[in-house]
Amino acid sequence: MDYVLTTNAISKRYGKNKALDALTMHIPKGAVYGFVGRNGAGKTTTIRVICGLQEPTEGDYMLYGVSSKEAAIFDVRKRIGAVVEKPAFYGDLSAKKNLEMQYTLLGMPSFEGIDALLKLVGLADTGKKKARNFSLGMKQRLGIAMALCGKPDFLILDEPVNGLDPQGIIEIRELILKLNREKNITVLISSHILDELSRLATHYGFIDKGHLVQEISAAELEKKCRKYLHAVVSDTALLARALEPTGTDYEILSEQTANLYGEFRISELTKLLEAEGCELISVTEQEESLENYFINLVGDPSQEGGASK
Amino acid sequence: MRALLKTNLRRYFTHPLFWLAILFSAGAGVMDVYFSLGQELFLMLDDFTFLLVLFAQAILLSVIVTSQHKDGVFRNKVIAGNPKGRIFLAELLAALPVSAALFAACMLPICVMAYRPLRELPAARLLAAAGVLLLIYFSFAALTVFLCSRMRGRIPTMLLCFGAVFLLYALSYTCNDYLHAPEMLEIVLDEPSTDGSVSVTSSGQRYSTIHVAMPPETSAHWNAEDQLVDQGGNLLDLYGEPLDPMYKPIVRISPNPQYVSGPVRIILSVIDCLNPVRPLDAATAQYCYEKNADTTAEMLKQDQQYRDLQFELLPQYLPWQLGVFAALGILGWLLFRRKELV
Repeated sequence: MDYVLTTNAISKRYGKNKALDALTMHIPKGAVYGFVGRNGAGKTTTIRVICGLQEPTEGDYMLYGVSSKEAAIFDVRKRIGAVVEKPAFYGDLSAKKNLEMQYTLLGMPSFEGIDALLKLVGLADTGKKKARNFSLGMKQRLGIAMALCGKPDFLILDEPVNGLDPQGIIEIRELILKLNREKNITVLISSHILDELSRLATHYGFIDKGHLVQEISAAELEKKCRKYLHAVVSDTALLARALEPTGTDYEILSEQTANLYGEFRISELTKLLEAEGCELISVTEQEESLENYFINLVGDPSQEGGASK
Repeated sequence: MRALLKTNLRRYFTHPLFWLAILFSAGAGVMDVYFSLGQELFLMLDDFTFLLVLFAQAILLSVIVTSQHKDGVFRNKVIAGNPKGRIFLAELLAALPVSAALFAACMLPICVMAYRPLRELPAARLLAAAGVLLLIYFSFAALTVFLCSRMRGRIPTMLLCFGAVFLLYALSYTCNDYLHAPEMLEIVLDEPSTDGSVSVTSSGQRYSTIHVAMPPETSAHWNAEDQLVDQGGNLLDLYGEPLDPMYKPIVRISPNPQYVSGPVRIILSVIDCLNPVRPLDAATAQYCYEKNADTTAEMLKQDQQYRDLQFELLPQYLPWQLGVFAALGILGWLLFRRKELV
């Protein structure tokens, strides 16, 4: 598989505090990579390191096959666009002027394409309004537009929907999907709003306390978060005996509880269990949410913190 | 680098504060000439004018550079594939034409309005002095950019740059007082007067003579404390001029407490050479010219001698100033490349 970015055991220390701990991740080309973690898990620190804003204490990373320790990394970085933490722009300039400044910074020969870019992010009608007077959603969109100026093929967005209203979230989501599907831009998007990520991501990386706990594709995650019946029975041993011949996927939780995966008709299930002398006491249909999956993965949800700077 | 420079310059030239600073600098030049220039050929440029322009430069550079921290624009520059060291150098290099523009804005009205007196002065020397002044502006610009690259807050940085300019001026005058203080003081009690005036009538390398005219009621106190020797005769030898025999001057010779020697003198001399204010004084002196109906040939000669003396000092300051500029640039570059941008 072709990877845009691979990190190799990156660690980052701030004094005695370890913000990143041997983090190894792989972002496939063309993916929308959801980078999931609690506040302070190390998402922003990882992004800062990848973007060159900070140096890792240990480890390195490869961007388009070029190591971060090579001089060529500066040229390769021109292929990425990023919005790190909050959008960066000149507050006293309009959206168009900001993009002109960004075009100048990137050494673009002309300002052609700025109007199309403003239209793409929905800021075409802002006129001479100063960027500092924009709403939060508009600022986020301006930040994305600035990141898109260099026609990157790898876009890094650090919590782009933070603080947005539902309409704003939808707009950003649709924009990201459009960029990924129509322009084949690989996107790394960090967030702790799992529900929103679940509508976008094709791949996930779960980070906790500076360490990447798991990398998984959306398809695999969907399998793991599928619907199931939570059954309370008289004896799960009898349940197992009844289900074995049917090839049904199930999970015994205790002597009287079990999860049954797949499609079931309750009447048929009851008959099946009755035949083995097993009583079906109750059954509820459930679906493992991404939140539950994440919580189960990283442990006690009441534990907050981690390293941040 | 070219893209970075272009971006930085575009930022300066499109910022309203730049044009305000230009207007301010031009106004400072106009005011200086307006207050000094009369019907006669008279031009006495004041250090204060250049101080005002330095303040304008400090405000402009600190606002533009530190806002890049606050707005996150430095991040954009790194993400665009620029090494941090190159970003710092681009900030420094972009500050130079800005500094030159402010300097030119101040000098242009001076050259236009004071054309008549300036015409009397040698053009080559005026140009050389202008070159030195410009280098001093560059040194201050380098200092401002260096400070701004280390700090994020706009107001603290501005205050620090202000403070740096003030400090350098204060340091310059302090060093000047100590380095040019004569080794010995000779205090001569003069003819009694009521106003307690003090004047220095001659100042040499080793002696400075201060004439003190004291009210009559205090001269007795002086006699009691300071009558070391009645040196009326010696006083005549020193000056070579006869004194009024009606009063007996009391002379006190003592080491000048302001005189420094040894390692302290060396340290102060080095600080004085590094301080951009010293060559600024020497360069500004080239633009001073006085000639009116009362001006004698002797006075013109003394004026010329003073300008010559100041001009001779300029070459010794030049390498130091170039060194300051280079040192600030290199140090800033080394520190900024390792700076963690958040």
